[in-house]
Amino acid sequence: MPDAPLLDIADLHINFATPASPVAAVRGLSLTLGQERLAIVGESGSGKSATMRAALGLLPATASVKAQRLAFRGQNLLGLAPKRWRTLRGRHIAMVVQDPRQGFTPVHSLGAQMIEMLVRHRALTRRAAWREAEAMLAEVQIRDPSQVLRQYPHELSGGMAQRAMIAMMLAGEPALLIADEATSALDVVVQQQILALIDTQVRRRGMGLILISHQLDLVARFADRILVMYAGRVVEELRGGTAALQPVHPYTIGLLHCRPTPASFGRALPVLTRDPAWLA
Amino acid sequence: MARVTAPLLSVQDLSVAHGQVLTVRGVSFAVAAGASLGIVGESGCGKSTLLRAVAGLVPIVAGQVAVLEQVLPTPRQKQHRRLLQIVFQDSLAALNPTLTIAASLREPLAIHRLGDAGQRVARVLDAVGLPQAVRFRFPHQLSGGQRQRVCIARALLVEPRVLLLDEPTSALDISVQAEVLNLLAELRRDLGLAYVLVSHDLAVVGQMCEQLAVMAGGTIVETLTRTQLVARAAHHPVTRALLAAGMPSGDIPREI
Repeated sequence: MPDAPLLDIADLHINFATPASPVAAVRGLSLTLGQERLAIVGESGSGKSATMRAALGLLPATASVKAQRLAFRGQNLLGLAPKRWRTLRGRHIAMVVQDPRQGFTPVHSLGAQMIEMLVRHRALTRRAAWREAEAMLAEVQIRDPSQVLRQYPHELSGGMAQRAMIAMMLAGEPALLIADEATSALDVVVQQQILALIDTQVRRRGMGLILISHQLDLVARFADRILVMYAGRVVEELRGGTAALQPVHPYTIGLLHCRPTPASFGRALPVLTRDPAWLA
Repeated sequence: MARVTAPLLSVQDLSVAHGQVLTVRGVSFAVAAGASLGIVGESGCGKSTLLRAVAGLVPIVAGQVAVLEQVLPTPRQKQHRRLLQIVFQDSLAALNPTLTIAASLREPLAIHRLGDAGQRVARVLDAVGLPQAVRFRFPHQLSGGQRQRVCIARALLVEPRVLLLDEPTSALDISVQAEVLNLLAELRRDLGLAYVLVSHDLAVVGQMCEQLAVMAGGTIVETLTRTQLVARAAHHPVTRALLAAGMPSGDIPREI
């Protein structure tokens, strides 16, 4: 179905079984994603990562997923067999995780890992895969690709490892890229560089992008739309592409005010007062 | 409050080596009681190593650290360690996962032979805004913000003069960061502590510190006052890059 949205989620509920009682991580989330850049912003435990893991079939066995609809390009993802998931992940939907050095296997060189990806998903020969891997690393602005391919993840800086991770995730030529806190472990200068790099690649390749973050002001500039999540629900949708956001929901307004700015320097920061009504 | 002329913490020509490489090269700074110095820089500039060296956690190859004009020896002795306490970025890694919070908090008291452990723990939990019930919890049962409060409480228990803060809020949500930064500011004011705060986030440093030092390649390349920071009066390219990436210019709507 070429006209179907990239990702179509309707009334998603995710519950985690715990010894005490089930915990509702996501409570009735709906979203439709086209070829656009969507940011999902929320605090720890708001359900943003759980939602993305449901879309990738990566939730643990203790999670139960219920939804009216959970589909990628019209293909139903609910109850998909493990084998079908493997053909989807990496090839059609790829995810860049927070800590690149955890996303890589420490015991194989970067080259070995990228080649595995290219041979599996793109059916290249090993020689062609090596050349493609070099080209991919050059594309993410790594200066000496053939040298870096021979290195192991621990030999790379955080920023370099994240660039390599993005290159590897783009190698499968996915239609949808999910960046789950992809810049949270990096310093602020590198954060901007990595977001700009993701942005360039997404535009050039016409992919859909979902940026997951807890930093609203950081991702606002790199997203067309922003969904603000609180306690498992979307509480507000904002138009992105600008630093001048116009939030209406008190949670979103509170989030923006908590951030230190020259106006707050040396004074007490406003703190978020949580209204039980936000849970309703 | 009377102004103290002699600095509380004074660091002179401090150098740290990793093998043959000097990761901190001849760094000097001073912090008065009740003052707060921010140290900023990109990953790998040596800012965390500097903080660890000041704390006595990594050996120094040259220079000295003095508190109240008393030069601290290497290796440090117990009474020196008590003067300077450190709070790390990752609170889960900083707390022993097999100990309850009460047991973790009693450890420094036992080491320094401070009596009244029960009362001291109760008081410090109040001071950092934690309910007494957290005593019986394990680190993994607390939220990230609560755990960082426990780490701050543990640092305060031995009544230090200097608190060394290594990215204390980088692992926290923005709303929780605001609460922890407010707590740290209150404690500094109430207890007259000196802070050295390491961060890559200029907004956090501007919030907390009147002075900041920018590090690159193991040395301090520029120092700024808060006023200069707000005016973006920086010269070094590293400072400019940090300003461009991480300082809100104030165009965020602040009125509800």
